[in-house]
Amino acid sequence: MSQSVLYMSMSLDGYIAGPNDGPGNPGGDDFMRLHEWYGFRDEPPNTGGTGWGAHFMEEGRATGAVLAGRRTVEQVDHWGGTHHGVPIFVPSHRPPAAAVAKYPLVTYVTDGIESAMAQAKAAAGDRDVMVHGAYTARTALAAGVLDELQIHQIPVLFGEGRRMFDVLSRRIELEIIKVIDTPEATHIRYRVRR
Amino acid sequence: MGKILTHMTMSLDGYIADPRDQVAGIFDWYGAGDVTIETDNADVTLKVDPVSAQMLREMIANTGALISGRRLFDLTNGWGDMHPMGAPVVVVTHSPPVDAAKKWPRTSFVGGVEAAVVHARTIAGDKNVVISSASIIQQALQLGLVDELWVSVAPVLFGEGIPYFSKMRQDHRFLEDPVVIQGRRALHLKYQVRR
Repeated sequence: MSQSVLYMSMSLDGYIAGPNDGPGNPGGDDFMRLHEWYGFRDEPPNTGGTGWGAHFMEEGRATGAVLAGRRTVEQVDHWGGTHHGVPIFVPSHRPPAAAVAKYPLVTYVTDGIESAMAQAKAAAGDRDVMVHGAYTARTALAAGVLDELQIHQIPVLFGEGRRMFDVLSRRIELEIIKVIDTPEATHIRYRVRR
Repeated sequence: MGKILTHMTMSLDGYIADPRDQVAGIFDWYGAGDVTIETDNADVTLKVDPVSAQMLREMIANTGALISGRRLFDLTNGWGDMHPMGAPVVVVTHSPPVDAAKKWPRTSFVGGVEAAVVHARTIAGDKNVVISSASIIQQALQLGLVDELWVSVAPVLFGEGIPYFSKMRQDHRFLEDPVVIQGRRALHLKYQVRR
């Protein structure tokens, strides 16, 4: 069955981006500290990875659709129109910038997160949906349409930046499905309890 | 000489209590198993899973003193002078409660974080000092006094509440690869603070 999964690298104190994030500085200052564990070298982020980094890169590439927040996609110009070749859905209250028309795989969904997730799941078929972006993940959690969280917990205290969870409208119980303990990161897979 | 440790239970989104200081939901792991742990405080008995029990027993056996903030001390009425961990408590406060010596004879009251750590070390001797208040942990981290950060992460998103880590003005604090203990309803992580 298709699951919607948030993949996120997070500092122990809950930050997923450094300060000053924006176009030209995606993820903010020192963003790479949270993603070193992938083992990227000088290649662009979608091609690298060693060890467990490669494992999770492959898992990500096996997903059948991407649901990503507007802040995320605009910082990386919609990954040039494709994320490992699958459709990208962007929930947003506002229509896309005109330039997005050149990306046939990118769909802006303006009638809510439930609709965006339903479209992403339909596009993914039997495969999972990869969820990107803190705000989008929180909205999906609040709406009850996020199934799992794959948190890569990084042994660092960031102290400032953009937090993953911030304020939620209600308490949400989770189950720990799997823990992978590696020197660079603690990979924890959670299922959202319904 | 013992180590300076910190231990807190927090939700995955980083809260140690809800906005009304309640810990139900975060502290579930203290009652989520079949292994009974009697504590030195007769009012507190824990029922945890086997691996959490082993971690708690080791922690209790190796702790020689605790450091608490004034707020937590007041919330718990000073644990009736008998903290469940057994060790004496050092409270960081500028104004000790009246009748402190009579009502809490095992508890000491010290004016600052650095002085509290020095005093707790004296009490603990070869054993460890455990800091168990978020605000004191933050100050001790900033001062570079913490050897190990222990966090029990509960699988729950609280959404709002009292955060464990506040914003820090300094550079990032780097931690070593944690020891990971997978308990029931909590993942226990023990990090060494990198110097």
